[in-house]
Amino acid sequence: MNTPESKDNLRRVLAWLDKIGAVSPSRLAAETQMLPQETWGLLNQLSEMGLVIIRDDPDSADGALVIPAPMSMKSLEEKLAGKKDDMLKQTRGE
Amino acid sequence: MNAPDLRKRFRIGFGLWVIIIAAVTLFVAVPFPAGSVAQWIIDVQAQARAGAELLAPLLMVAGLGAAVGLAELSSTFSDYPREAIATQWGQYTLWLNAGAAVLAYLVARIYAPASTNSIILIIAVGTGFPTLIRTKYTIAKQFGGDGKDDLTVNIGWLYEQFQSLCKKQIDLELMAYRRMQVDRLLGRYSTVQELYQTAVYAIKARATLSDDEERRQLEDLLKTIDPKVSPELARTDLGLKILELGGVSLIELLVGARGGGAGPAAPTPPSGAAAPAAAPTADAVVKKLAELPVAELVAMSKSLLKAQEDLDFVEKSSQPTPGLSELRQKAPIAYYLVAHVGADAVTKELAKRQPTP
Repeated sequence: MNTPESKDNLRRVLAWLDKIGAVSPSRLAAETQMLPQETWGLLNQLSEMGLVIIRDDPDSADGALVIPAPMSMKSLEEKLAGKKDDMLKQTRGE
Repeated sequence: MNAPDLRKRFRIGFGLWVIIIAAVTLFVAVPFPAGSVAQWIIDVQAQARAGAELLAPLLMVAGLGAAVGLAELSSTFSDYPREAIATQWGQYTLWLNAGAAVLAYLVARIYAPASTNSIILIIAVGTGFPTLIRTKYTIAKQFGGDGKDDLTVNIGWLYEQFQSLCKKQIDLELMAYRRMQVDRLLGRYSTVQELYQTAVYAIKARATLSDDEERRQLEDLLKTIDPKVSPELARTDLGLKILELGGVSLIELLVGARGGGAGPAAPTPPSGAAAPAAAPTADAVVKKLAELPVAELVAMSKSLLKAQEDLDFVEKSSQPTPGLSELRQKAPIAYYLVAHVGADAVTKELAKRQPTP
């Protein structure tokens, strides 16, 4: 389950990716000042949501490259709102 | 062997034709006054005028035939019209159209009454003959049929075969040319990251793409860099995508921006000559840092960084984490260090720490 803080972090990572485009996950961690394990966790989460692609890149210092999907920021908001709706439905027993 | 530079060939060929036609027209149309030049030049000019009068109808008909060929080439290969015209088989198409039109005119001239106006005959042959050799006549048409059982005479069959052969051969020549352009680009932009960024730029910079088209192109681009695709293939596909989006002009601009000429890579200095010491790029410095052992990288970072929050980041990032490789721990520290201290300062520090032989 995404806490408000982790949602903010997802938004922060994606906003940064939207701005810069394709980037090494390690550079993303350095730029956002997030710890490597936290950054990779968020990226894996975004990748599962289909909002970023993480692929091998021999030219990158950490051997990986993360690329945002088009309209990923809008999609993230939709997905986060969708999750909220699902949680409300679950609480109501719908 | 390199594929010929078709755009250059087109420019040179076009320029030469313009110069030749202008020079001949000027020579024939403006007679030299008697005594102003050598007599033999005046004689040649008179003969050239007589020859031009004789050949003018043929040249006009040939021009009309070639224009039809040009239109066919440029519409078939609308992404590379100049290059298609400059290919060997593109030239054959033009010459065949021009030559066939001249032959048709000669035949028409023999059988047409002597009183027929030359201009009308030129226009009739120049426009009618290309139409004729591309025509399929339907003599009897089945009621409501799909056309398969109609009685037809396909006069254009022969030209269709030639056109099909030309199309295939031109496409092969253009394929080699496209590959050459992609190689030039990959020689200067070698990483998936920068090629991807360039492709995104090319999509966003295209003024004629609608929002839907832009989105579709960006989605196609994501398929190109699918994690299952190898980096080598992704690079080539991205290169082709950039060429498709921006054309040869964008490739020339990009290669030019990196100081590139026609070759696939920057020239290397001759062996023995002292190469200018190029400043290492930030990415190269990061890679060097990431090769250091964790302890050494942390020690170096602590010696260069002063702010407490920077030191905290380095300290926390260096803690071993299950499921995260050492390289993926070190690389963020390396990026952080280069971003906060600068590539030059890090390079100097690395040089200090290198053991002297």
